[in-house]
Formats: sequence, structure tokens, C-alpha cells
Amino acid sequence: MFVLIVILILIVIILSSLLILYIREVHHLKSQLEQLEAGSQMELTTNTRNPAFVQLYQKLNYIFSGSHARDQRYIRSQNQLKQSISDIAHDIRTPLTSASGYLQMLKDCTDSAKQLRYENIIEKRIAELKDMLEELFLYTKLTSEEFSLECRDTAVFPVLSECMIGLYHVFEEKGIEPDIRFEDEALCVSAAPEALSRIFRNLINNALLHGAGGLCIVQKGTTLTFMNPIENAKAIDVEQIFERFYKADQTRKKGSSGLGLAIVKELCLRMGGTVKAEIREEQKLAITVTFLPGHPLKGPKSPEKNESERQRGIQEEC
Amino acid sequence: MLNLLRMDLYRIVHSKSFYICFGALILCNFMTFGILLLLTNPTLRDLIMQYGAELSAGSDQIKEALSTASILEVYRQGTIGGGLFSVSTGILASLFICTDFDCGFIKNIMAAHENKWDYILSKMCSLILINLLYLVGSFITLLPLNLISGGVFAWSSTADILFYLFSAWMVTNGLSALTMLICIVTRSKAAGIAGAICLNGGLIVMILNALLGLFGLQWLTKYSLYVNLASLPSSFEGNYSLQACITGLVFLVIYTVISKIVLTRRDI
Amino acid sequence: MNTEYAVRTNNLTKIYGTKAAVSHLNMEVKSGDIYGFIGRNGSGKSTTLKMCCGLVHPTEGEISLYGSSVKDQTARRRVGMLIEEAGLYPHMTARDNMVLNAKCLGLTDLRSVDTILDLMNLSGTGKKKVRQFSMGMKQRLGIAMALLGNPDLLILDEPINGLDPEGIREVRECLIRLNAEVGKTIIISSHILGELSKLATRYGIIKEGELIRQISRQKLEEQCRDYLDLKVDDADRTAALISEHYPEAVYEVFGRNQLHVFDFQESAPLTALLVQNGIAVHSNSLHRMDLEEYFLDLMEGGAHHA
Repeated sequence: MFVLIVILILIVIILSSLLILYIREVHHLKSQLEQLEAGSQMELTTNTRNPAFVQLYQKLNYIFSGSHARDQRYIRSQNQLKQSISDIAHDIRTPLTSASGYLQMLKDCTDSAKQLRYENIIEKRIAELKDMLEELFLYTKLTSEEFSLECRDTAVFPVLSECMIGLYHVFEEKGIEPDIRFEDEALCVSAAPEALSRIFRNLINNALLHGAGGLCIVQKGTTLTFMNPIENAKAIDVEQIFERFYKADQTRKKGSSGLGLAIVKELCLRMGGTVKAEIREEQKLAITVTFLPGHPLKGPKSPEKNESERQRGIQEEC
Repeated sequence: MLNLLRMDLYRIVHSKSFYICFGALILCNFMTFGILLLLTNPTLRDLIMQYGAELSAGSDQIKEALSTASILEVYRQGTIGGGLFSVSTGILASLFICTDFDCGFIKNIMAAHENKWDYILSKMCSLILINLLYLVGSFITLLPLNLISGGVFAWSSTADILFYLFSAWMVTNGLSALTMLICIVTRSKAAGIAGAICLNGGLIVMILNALLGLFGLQWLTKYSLYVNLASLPSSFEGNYSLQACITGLVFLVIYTVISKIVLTRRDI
Repeated sequence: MNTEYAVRTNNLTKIYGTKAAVSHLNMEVKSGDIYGFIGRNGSGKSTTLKMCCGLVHPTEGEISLYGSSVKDQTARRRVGMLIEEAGLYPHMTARDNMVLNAKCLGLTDLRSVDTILDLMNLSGTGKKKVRQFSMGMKQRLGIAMALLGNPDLLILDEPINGLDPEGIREVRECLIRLNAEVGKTIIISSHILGELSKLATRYGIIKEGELIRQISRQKLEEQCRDYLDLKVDDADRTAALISEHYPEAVYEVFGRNQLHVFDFQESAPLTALLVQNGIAVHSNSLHRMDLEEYFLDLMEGGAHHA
């Protein structure tokens, strides 16, 4: 009898302790939630291992961390936007200031030779500005949801040749002989011709403007690799190179908006392809674009262009 | 508090000293049992005498003295009475508590727990649990020995065993609380172990006894933990037998409260 | 709950015996700051930080964490700390130590233990006991322990002690990332001013238990604008011209060609003046004290130039 009473008392004590424990746990949760409400990101902690409570806490932690991650993403994108606007303003300011300065000098100048010079420079600056803004508009268009590219079977080699010819004067100016190695000159990929042309133009421009001299283009399957030697391999971050406004050289060489490669990436992705950058042999930058395969076109291609390009392929360091 | 208790139990289970102390205790048990067995068994007695052991008592006297010995008696003499049990649990407690302070982990604990009761209570609960495990464990290991040797010692009744173990548990809890207090005050392993040996082993009580004797106050030592432990009643014979339990409980509470006060007062 | 300030102390004082280790300290750390706590050995840095963690009771004054008293258990959970040496059980592995701390805090999900160990490059330690760790690894484990539970405020007392340059860089990058991406507030005390200057957005300078200056990085850079360094072809004439036109200006001449003009703001008019008077100005630059000079100057107690 006595033993029974003792046991019953023990049970009552244990049960009431549990009850008190759980009520206190709820209070503990409440005070933690107050902290979270005030902006804390701490993980919720428990004083009991009762599975019900543990699962509750885990679920709450999961929900809150999702909410915090969203907040952080929002802040990050806000900052990115501010940074982009600042970058654009900065890039526009330089040629504009220069043009404005020359305009002042033009007004104060009486020498007609100098006047002519100043006028030319102003014209050049304004053209630079126009190009920059064109690229910016294109990029904005590209990154909007509504933009779509119509892809069809396009022969790669002719498009590339056209770009090379279009930039011939730049090659001449820099004294660079490009080295083109095509495995299959009849290669066709699924692409939009204007987009393809743009991609090649931007890649070649990038090599010419920022490279140390020399350009090598290699084709294998549906992949093209554009390689050029560079001055300082360490300054280039291959992960960041396709980010808009990324410029390895912090002094932001004039005439470049930093959008060239970003546009290449956007266009490639829109056409279902991929693009990758890597440093090879410690001092060469290699950008590889891969396209979706297309069906071979029938009909004549432009042979004269092929020949002239081939003749130019003197051994350049590639 | 429960979090810290879980932490402490995890640590105990993963520490070597827990198992080593227990092993030492069992070893001593075996040795005591072995020696007593030697003394009661004539053939073995002759064997050791051949090897030069001297026995001051004759075989009959020994038999007579040990005929009334029960397994509980063996346990008391071997483990509890001399203070071996409380010294080994005291040493384990010192190592357990002082490591926190030595290695600095106490900073982590106290930064997360403002209420010092959490720490004190979790340590106390761990020590109480250790005491229980050790008591039950070391007693149980005696039983198969007795069985194997053919029941040399009389089997005590279950009620007696339970009561004895319960009383022993209460008193050793008090002693563990005292060790904890020393550790909290001194924060040093050496001091804790010295304290365990001197206090739990009865050294201080002996000295105190002698001193108080000069003033005729010896009866005070009757209420000390060590003396209570040494003279635990073997069976329940009226309320007086509960004196040991109550003494243990009272000292447990007092030392725990003082530890908490000391811990709160001092900085980490 | 006012949570603009992560930590705010009011008249904080700690007296040991007869000596005041910390006296009348009014420290303010805003949410999102990286607060660099600078002071000599024994100036009261550790004591102050210990009081902010609740390990030491102040003799006078109060501390509030995110608007609540430092004694509030839940507010304390928002703090992760590493004070002096990391508190680690030497006979246990790194993971065991982290698991014990996680249990102590009451975390429900032990996956964060592995994530944090990975972050601090300690996943490869396996069964190695902490007593076999190098100093650097122990420090990193200490920081990992402080990161458990995703605290909003990190209090780190000399965290880069004993780390090699690689380790220092890793810790620095980690802290900057935590502050920039997740918005953690960090209070970090260090002797190594060079490191602190790369990290901190606000500085608190403590000398003999008193906070002698609390200053944002911007203001510090302004104040460190020390003197105008002029390289001219005739220092004597330059000196004469300065005295005549700017009688209040204090300057020092170094040889025939160099002058330092202190606390001087009008560098453009001065240069124009010199050029008008036929003196060739080769260079005209604003010299900035670095953090170390500024700090040492402050420690010495003031005037470094007449």
C-alpha cells in the first residue's frame, strides 16, 4: 500500500515536471521569436529533446533561413543595380567630359588647323559614346524576358570570315595576323546569324583591344575557341569575366563599356549554347563558345573569302 | 539545465576516466573478496603460509569471525567503509569538473547560460548518476563471485541490500557535493583530488575528531558524512536508521547552494 | 527593442581590488559594424569584452545587447564569442567539441556543425585530438565554435593570434564575407593594427581602462590627413612666403627642397601663390598617417609636432 502511494507520488511529480518543462519551452520559443522579429538571424535553440518540439524548431529554422536568404538576395540585387547605374554614369562621363573640354578649347581657339583637330576628336568621342550606349541598349534588350532569338541552321565559317573582313582595319592597325584553324569549314550550327556575327565581333574586338597581340581561332565539333595572349593573367578573374561592366584593368581603358563579353554570354545562352573562359599556359586567355549542332546547308559557300583568310594564316603564336 | 546535463552525460560516456575509476573499484572489490576467500579456505590458507605469510589468528577464529559475514558485509568492508568508494568517485568528480575550468570550456558554457543553477544542477545530477551507477555496478560484480566460490558468504536479503545501497547513495551524494564545492572554489584538479582524498577518505574527520575530543565535542563528528558512511546500518530498524540518508541529503543541499553562490560571485 | 546598436555600454566600470581595470566606458557598436577594439596589453580590452559576454560582472554601469540587458538569456544567444584562448576539451576531437557546444546551446540540427567546420577548413581533422592541434587550428576551431547557432554578433578577442599569414587572410576574408553577405556585427580586438585597418569600419581605442576615442573609419582617414608635403626648389623663400600670407600656419623645413605644412587645408591657393612668385613646385601631396602612427600618437598622449 505504502509502496503504491510512493509510486503514485513519483508519477505525479514526474508528470508535473514535464508539464512545467513544456510550458517553459513555449515561453522560451516566444522570447526567441521576439528576437527574430527584431531582426535577428540566430538559429532557434531548444531546452528539451521532445521530438515534437525539435521538429517544430527545425521547421521554423528552415522557414526563417529561407526568408533571410530572400532578404539578402534582394539587398544584393539592389546593390548590384546601384553599382551598375554608377558604372554606366562613370563610363558615360569620361568621353562626354573629354568632348566638352575640347569644345571649350574649340571655342577659344583661332587656329583653323587646331580647330579641325578638335572637331575630329569631339566627333570621335561622341561616336564612342554612341557605341557604348548602343551596347547598353542591346544588353538591356537581351536580358529582358521578351527578347527571343530565332535560330536556324547557319554556316559558321562565312559569318566568321565576314567579321574578320569587317575588322580588317583594326588588324592592320595593330599589326596582328590571325590564326584560324577550322576542322570542318562546312560546320553548321543552330543560331541566329546576326547574333552569331555579334558574338564573333565582340570576341575578336575583346582580343584586339585587350590582348597583348595575336589571335587564334580553333574550331572543333560545334565548339570554337578564341585564344589570345594577355599581359597579366593574374588580373583576370575567369569567373567574373562575363559579368556586365567587368573590366580586368581597373583604370577602364577608354572605348570599352565592359559589356562585350556579357553580351556574348547572353547571346550564347539564348541560343542554347555555352561559353567558358580559362587561362591557358599561364599567359593566354581562351574563350570557348559551344553551339547546338545544326543540319548542314546545301549549296555553294563563299570560296574567295576562305582563300583570302587562309592565306593570312601565317604562323602566329597561338 | 537539461542541455548541460545532456552535454555532461555525453562527455562522461566518451571519457576514459569514467571507465578507469570503475575498473579500479571493481579490481579492489575482487582483491578484497579474494583475500577473504583465502582466509576462510583451509587449503589456500596453508598455501600462503608456505609462502611466508603470517596469520595472527588461528583458522578456527577466522572461521568464527567470518561465519557471520554476509555479502553486504564484504561489500561494506571492501568498498564503502574504508572510503575507497567515495575517494574514487571524488577523484572522478574533480577531474570532471576541473577540466571545464582548466581548458576554458567554462567560458562557452557561461556565455550561453546566465543562470548558474543550470551548471550546478547539471553537474550535481551527473555526479548523482555516477554514484548510483558505481554503487550498483560494483555491488553486482560481487554477486557472481560469491556464486562461483560456492556461496562462501551469506546472502543478505534484498530489502537490506536495497536499503544499504540507498543510504550509501545518499551519503556519497553529499560527499560528491562537497568535492564539487572544493572544485568550484579552487578550480584546480590538484586541489580537488587532494580534497577528495583527505575529506572523502576521512583524514580530516579523524583530525577533527581528535581536536574536538579536547573539548568534549566528539559527538559532533557523528554527523559528519564520513562517519555516517563508515557506520551505515545494514538494515532498516526504525527511523534512526534514516539518519545517514538525512545527513547526506542535508549536506547535499547545503554544499550545492554554497557552490552556486561561489560560482555566481566569482568571474570566469 | 531598439536594435540599432548591437552593444551599448553605459558608464561601465570594473574594479579589481584597488585598481580599475575598466572605468566609465561608454562604447557603442552599431549593427553591421566591424568594430576594431585597439589597446595595449592590459588596457582592459579583454575585461570589457568578457563583460559584454556576461562572463564578468561589472562593478558599476550597464551593458545592453540589442536593446536588452546583457543578463537576458535570449539576447545572449545572439552573441558568439572567442575570448583569449579558445575553450576546447583537449582530449576530444574537433567535431566532438563542436557537438558538445551545440548541445550546450540546444541546437536542433547538427548539420550546421559540419558546415561550419568546412567553412573554417577543419573537416579533415578526423580523429585528431585537440591537444595535438597547432595554435592556428585551435584558433580556427575557436572561431568555428563562436559561429555556432548563427549569432548576429561576434565578439573576437585577438582571433588571429598565432595564425600564419595564410590563416590570417582566410580569417579576414571569412569575417568580411560574414559581415557583407549576412550582416553580422563583429567586435574584434587585436594588436596587429595593419590587419585591423583592413577590416574595421569603426575603431574604439582604449587606454588604461578608458575609451579615449571612438571613431568611424571615414573620420579617422580625415584625421590622419596629417600634413602637406611640398617639394620645391627653394625651401627658404617658400617658408618666408608661407609665414607672410598664412601667419597661423605651422611648418617644418627639411633640407633645401622640402617642407611639411601641418593642419593646412588650402593647398591649391598656396601652390598658386608659390608659382606666381617664381617658385617651382615639384610635388604637392597630402601625407596620411597610417593607423599605427595615429594609434601610437594617441597612446603617447598628444602633440607630436609643435
